[in-house]
Amino acid sequence: MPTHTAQDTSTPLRVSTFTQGVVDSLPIVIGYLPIAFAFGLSAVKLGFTPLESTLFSVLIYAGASQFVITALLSAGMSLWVSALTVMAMDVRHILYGPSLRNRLTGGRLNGKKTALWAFGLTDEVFAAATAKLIRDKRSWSENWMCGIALCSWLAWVFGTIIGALFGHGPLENYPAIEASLTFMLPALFLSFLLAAFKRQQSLVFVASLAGALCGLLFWSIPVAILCGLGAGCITALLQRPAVELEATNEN
Amino acid sequence: MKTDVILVCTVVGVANYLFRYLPLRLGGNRKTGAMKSGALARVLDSIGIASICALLVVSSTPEILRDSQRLLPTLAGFVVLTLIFWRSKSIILSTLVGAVAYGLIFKAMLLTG
Repeated sequence: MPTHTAQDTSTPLRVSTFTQGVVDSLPIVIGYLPIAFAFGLSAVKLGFTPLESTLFSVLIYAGASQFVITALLSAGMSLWVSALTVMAMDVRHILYGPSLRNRLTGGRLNGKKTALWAFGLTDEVFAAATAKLIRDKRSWSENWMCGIALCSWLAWVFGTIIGALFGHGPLENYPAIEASLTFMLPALFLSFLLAAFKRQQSLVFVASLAGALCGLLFWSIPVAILCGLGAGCITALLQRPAVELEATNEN
Repeated sequence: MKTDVILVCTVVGVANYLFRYLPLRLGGNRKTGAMKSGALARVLDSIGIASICALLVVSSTPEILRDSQRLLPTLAGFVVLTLIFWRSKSIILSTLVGAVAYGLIFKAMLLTG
């Protein structure tokens, strides 16, 4: 963990506002719209009404899980098996809270606001928050989180509604634009990675990429995420703490 | 609207919310010295980077595995994005310019067949 330097304390404190959260959500919004659109389209094709499709996005709000649960339900899978399957897919979100809390200094979480933005703590919003905390911890605020979480959720719901109501059409004749939109999420994750990257975490970075790649090539997407997380965490455990390394270098 | 859909959406929605919210609340804001410097802190610190790396892989690689023609635009998009980020340090700008670069290379490949 970086320690505050004299320079840190002398610079004026600029806490990010709700509006800045709205602005910072722009890449997530642009990335979410085509995927949510595809979800709305797929759910209607599988036999759900536009209203039901929208309800999935409003309440569940978890990309891949929504595709899976609609596919399972439409294939006649039992309600509880479908529910448990997607809950197992989403259980990784349990790790996000402690990770964010570990980066925050005491007293930074307000009960009511946390309860609001926690609903929107998706993979992308977590990545944005992590990048923000690593780049400039002091500017992170719950209002900023509320802005980014709310806009991302609205984009997800809006994209689903458009997909469920209009289906094919708008982008069918523009394959390059459609392709660019599908690239938004990988681009977004790379940007967050560049923003959050620190040299002392190089090994964690390499191990996570390699773990996820192996998981993807040999198993599946959910397993790949767990492999990436597992490889990164194990590497972090095996690495000597930064403080210890500094002491060794000084000697 | 079918009752089944409402029920399953509510159950999964509540479970997802609890997965996201409870870990933020449980344990409060306290952070002990042992936790700050210990193995647990190192693991928690690494979760952010590790999950972003894993999400980067799962969001980009399946598309390339399905259609190898996506490799070149993806690499071009990533290179442009990295350069723009290096110059501007802006997540929004680098993401958008990276996506535009991807689209342009994709379009060029479509035109040249």
